[in-house]
Amino acid sequence: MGTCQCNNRPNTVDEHLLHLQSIVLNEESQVDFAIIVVVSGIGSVFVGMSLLYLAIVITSLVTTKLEKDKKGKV
Amino acid sequence: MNLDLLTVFKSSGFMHITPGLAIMWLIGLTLIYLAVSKKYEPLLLLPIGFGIIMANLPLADLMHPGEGLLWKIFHYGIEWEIIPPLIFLGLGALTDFGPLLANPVLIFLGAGAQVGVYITFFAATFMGFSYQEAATIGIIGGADGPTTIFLAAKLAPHLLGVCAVAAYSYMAMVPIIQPPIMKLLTTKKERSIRMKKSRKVSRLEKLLFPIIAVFIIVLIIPASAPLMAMFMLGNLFRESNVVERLTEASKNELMNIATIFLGISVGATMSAENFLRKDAIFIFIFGLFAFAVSTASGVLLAKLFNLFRKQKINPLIGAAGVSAVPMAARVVHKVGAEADKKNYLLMFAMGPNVAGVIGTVMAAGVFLTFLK
Repeated sequence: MGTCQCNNRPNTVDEHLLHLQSIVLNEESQVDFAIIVVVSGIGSVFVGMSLLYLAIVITSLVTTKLEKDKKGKV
Repeated sequence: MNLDLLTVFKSSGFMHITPGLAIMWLIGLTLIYLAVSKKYEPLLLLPIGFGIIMANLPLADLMHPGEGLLWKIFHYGIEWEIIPPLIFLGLGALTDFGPLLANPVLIFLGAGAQVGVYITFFAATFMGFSYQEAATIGIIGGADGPTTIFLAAKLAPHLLGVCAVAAYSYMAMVPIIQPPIMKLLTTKKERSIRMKKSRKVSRLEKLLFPIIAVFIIVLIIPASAPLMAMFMLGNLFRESNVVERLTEASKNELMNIATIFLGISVGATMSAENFLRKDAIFIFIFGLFAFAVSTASGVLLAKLFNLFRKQKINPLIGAAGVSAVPMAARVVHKVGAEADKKNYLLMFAMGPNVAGVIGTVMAAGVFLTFLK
């Protein structure tokens, strides 16, 4: 996991910009771990939603079938 | 006698007023003004504003660990994860998943709007915020106050006040922030697209959804369980139609009580040293950025869908994927009606809107999994 090597956490606007510059120039990088979080995060949310989507579609099909059967019996 | 009066005066709070405290009082009064006069999220901004004033009264020690009243409310309510899940119980009891179940494909728009959360996390990390701080700032883009507070309390408690105020401020400003982005990314023709009439959703489907959803979501992202389980429990109360008293209690009394303590707790965390930070302005800017990107990503995802679908989706409803319920859906309807007066988008926009709530909780769960 890439972690920031700065001893001091930036506070002011200038310090934040210097920090950004140091990342770009020195490849001192937190980027690898941040990318993992971003990709996993977006991926997990979409996978979760896809499964929910499938569950909704299947539930809808099953309930429609059940209701049709019920009406057929009546 | 004079000496005694002097002693009393010296031991009073007046002698301990600092510029920082005075600024926090002004901020508290401003939030109360916005809540009362402008009606900006009054249910939250009013108790938050008063909580700020209470927490910054010198010598009152209301936030003294172990002793202060506000500290106890904050500690047992927020740090013990009680209040945000109770709010979600009430939200669940208030939520109708019907529009989402009728058009299940809209669920992806609720996921698309979370892209802003992660892009902001990435950008904030670049700017030197720690991972935990960046995640707390990014989640503002989900436009979900209780989730922001829940995540902040776990990952970056020192940012809780700033992030909560930013989240609720931007939620109040949905009608100002979203329309320009929506109009910029769509043509008038696209905004005029009429959606196909939704099918009728059976009661059984509505009843099964919260049970199935809690299984799927919590199995994928276990860290989302406190919020998601309570959200779906509240919804099960609602859809079961057999526990009307519990449904009413969840969405009224319980939620109102929880809201009072939530607002006071958030205000209580906003001490001068926590709020008057040099990088607070960054947090507000990133929060706005997150919110804007979430809106844009929802709209763009809807447009992407249209490339592959025969039955086109009005891309405006993608903007409702942020979870400011029901404000974002109302804004979608309003912007749609500007392009076509007879286009009624509200119920369609409610689908991605409630999906956005689920999406934001999932996003917060992923952050907790990685960063706690």
